[in-house]
Amino acid sequence: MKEEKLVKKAKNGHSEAFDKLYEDNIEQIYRFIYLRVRRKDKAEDITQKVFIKAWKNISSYESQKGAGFHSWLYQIAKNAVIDHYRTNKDHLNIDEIPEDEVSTPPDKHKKEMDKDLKFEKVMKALEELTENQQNVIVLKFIEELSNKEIADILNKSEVSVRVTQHRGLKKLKKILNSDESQEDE
Amino acid sequence: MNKEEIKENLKKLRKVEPDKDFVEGTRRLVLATNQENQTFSRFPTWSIATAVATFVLVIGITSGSFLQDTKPKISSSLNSQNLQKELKSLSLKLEKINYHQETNRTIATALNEITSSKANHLQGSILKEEVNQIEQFENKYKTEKVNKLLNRVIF
Repeated sequence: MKEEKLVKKAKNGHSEAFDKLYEDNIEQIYRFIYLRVRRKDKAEDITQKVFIKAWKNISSYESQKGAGFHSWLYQIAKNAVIDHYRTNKDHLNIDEIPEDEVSTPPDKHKKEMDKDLKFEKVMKALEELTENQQNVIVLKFIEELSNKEIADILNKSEVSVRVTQHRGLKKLKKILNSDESQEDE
Repeated sequence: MNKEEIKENLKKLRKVEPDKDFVEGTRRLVLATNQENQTFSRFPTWSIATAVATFVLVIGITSGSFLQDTKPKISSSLNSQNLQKELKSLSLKLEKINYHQETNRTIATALNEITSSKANHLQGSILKEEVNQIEQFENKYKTEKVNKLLNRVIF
């Protein structure tokens, strides 16, 4: 069933329809949140809140041209992450977090990534970007959303998204290359 | 590392996934949560106006029906003529009640006396005895006194 129909049904209180929407979006929303907070327990907590809020308030959701239901979920998730940092100003550095809380990917994936290249290095590099750059880079290159969708989620213009994307990539390149040169030394 | 390599490495982060247990647990939790009231939230811009209008309407209807119900009762109860009528009928009722109470009391007393063994004056044997005594008295004094009196009157 199409997302639009599912949303319509969910708005009328059909939990089965919302269940399908949940199924279709849980991974992306969790990943978006996890890459922003970098703690499994926090990511789970925030993801839970996002979907509860979405289910409770789905009647207020208005579909917009070019932006699907997932864009609305990302908006809720983005705001939930902002709230998280606002209420937990003393958040921990990734180095201080126990390893089992960070290693969200299944072991086989983690090993694969470690071999290929530096899962944690990329994560750390991402952390050094601004909040806006992180959002754009995650949504563009990990979630592969269009600039229009990203602009809608972040409430920015498409031009602004492109500029942030360019600057973010440039910064990431600088961080990762400086890490590599340090390792070489 | 060039930009393309960075993009490739970023794509690998797609492998970040939530635990299956967490996904199932959250699904159950979310679906067990009640939705917000849809009647108003579906029309967010109208919700406040609708709520206010409904409130005013309800107040209007309730107060209107209340006044309609109570108005004739209040006016009639405040009318002095009606009050006097009610007072008269009330006093009549009170008199009737008093009368019935007295009658009942008398009947009860009479019945008590009849049934009581102490009501000697009503016993047949005593009454007969009294009658005899009166007759004897009359027989004894009647003729002498009557004769004397008659003599006095006649002579």
